[in-house]
Amino acid sequence: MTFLLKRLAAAALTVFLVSALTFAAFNIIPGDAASAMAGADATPEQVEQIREKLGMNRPLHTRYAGWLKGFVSGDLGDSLRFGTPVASLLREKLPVTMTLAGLSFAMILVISFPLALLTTRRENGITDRAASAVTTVSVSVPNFFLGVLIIWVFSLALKLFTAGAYVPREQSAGGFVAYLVFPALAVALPLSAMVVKFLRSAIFEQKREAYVRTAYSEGSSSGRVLSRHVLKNAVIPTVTFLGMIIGDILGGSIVVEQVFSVPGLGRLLLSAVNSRDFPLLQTLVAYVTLAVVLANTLVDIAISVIDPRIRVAA
Amino acid sequence: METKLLALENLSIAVGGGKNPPLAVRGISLEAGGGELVGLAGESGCGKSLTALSIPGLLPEGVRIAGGSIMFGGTDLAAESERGLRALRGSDITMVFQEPMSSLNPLMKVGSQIAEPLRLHGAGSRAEIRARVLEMIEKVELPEPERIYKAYPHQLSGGQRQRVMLAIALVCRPRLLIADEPTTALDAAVQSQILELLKRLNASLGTTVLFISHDLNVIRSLCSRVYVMYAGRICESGTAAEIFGSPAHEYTKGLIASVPRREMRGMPLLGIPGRVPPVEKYGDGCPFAPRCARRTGECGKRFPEVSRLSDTHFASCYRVASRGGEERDDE
Repeated sequence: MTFLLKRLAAAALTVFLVSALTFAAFNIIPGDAASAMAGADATPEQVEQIREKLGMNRPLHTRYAGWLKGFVSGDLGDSLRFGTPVASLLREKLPVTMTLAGLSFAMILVISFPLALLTTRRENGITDRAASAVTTVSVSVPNFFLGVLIIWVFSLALKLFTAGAYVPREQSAGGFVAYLVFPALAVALPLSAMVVKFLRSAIFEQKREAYVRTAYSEGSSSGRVLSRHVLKNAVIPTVTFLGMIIGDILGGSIVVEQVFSVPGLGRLLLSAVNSRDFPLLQTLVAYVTLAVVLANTLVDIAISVIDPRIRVAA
Repeated sequence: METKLLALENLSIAVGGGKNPPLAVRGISLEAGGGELVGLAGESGCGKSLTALSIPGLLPEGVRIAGGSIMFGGTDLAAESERGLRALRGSDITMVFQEPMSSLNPLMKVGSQIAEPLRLHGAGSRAEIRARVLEMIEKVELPEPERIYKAYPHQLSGGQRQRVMLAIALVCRPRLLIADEPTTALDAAVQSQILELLKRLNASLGTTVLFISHDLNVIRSLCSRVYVMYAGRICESGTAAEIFGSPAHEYTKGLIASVPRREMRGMPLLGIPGRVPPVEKYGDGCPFAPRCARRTGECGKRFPEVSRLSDTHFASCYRVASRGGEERDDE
């Protein structure tokens, strides 16, 4: 119980700090929403008028406090650029990016675990070396470039999907997910390679532990040693690592959305930055932060379920 | 002589690949049986642990048996298949290791770990296994068996964990228990408790124990027969009384002299000058010759034959041979 409370407090603090930093950064970069809205030909008086209307002449801290108060009480305000409530924009875009991120995460698990198991059958064996070469290349490829490659292979050459023909989920849930599989692959592949590398070294490390020798001396086969002893012990650091790459998954999703014309948070975020749409940007950043913090809390809970030593400490 | 449960004959163990890999164990012979507590003594790095691991076929990768045989109850384990060895491991031949802190899986409950050999070797229903595990926890004299059963390794002390290791090793009632420095990592008080327990278990279960240690005090308090090993060779063997009462080999004498004793209080500790050579420099002669104060010319050339000092006492040393110990015929 205290564990959960501590986590919640830490999550709140993280979101608060990140949003405060975003707000500060946003006010340092040149240009503001008023000049963006007024356009290049506007007179300084017109810009000043808009500024007054948007409440941008108030001091920094009162503006931040105003946003924070609204965010906490659930009133997210209106987007300066679109004039619509931020809440409705989020309702529309957030599920798209979350589905993409979720799909990517699932793919990472499905790709990396069997691959790591395959490579660790023999240290420096042929599969180990081949996989090491592939993962090294795959880690080094940026995901937007991988997205272009995937479009080329799966859309242009194999004609498995039509790039750019995004299917909204209101239209067809199946079509929506089927389209997102390809951008998810672009997000998942480089990160899978990282997870394979991590899990591989964790497995080899565990294989050298003394309890493995005990298991062999009890008459366990090497398969049983792996499944019953090594794997579970190697999964613990790997789960922490998975928690660390959740931020990468979200970041990757936002970039890859551009390549595949997926109308998710990525575009919204870009337009919010370009138009200096302060209420929208603040809220988007807070939500992404919240998602990462939440995912890491889930990771901590998962670890405490697997590892009895953590349970005592918590 | 009656057939012994375990008989290593002329066993050699090679380390590393290549055409002529260095031998870390060179033609050693050793016997144990009849519920004996047999000690294998020697400094670290002399091949004791490799000898121990070779018996149930647990040599690490790159290390292999290069010659000789390991007869166990009529079968040669050196020629046995991995499958056949696996059937013996944990049931007929078991091991206890030095590191009580890391030898148990940190994520598994103790009860489940003690049950593992029973499960692996197909023993009975879940209730039956549980009952045998609880009985075993009592046998290794751990308090509150039900609580220990559900505990995780990190909740136990070092001594308790080593008792758990003994329970794992003995739950299938093996014929041979190989204990490789099982008390070395424990503090003195706990060490003597574990040794006493091992003695009692040896007596009550009749398990033959091969006890490996660098610590002569421990071997002396526990074992009825002792083999002294140096640089891959057995240099002397005999009953505990013979080894500690009238050691014949210079190395054994040096080892015994270097053990701190109460009556030597206040005097500087004695040691054997020099150190065990690395495996690739064992040479063909007596490996102890470079450190031996009484070496002669022939010591460095050829390893001495085994001299028989009594029915149970043997030593490989030219000094012993020239003193009138009869040369034993080659077996």
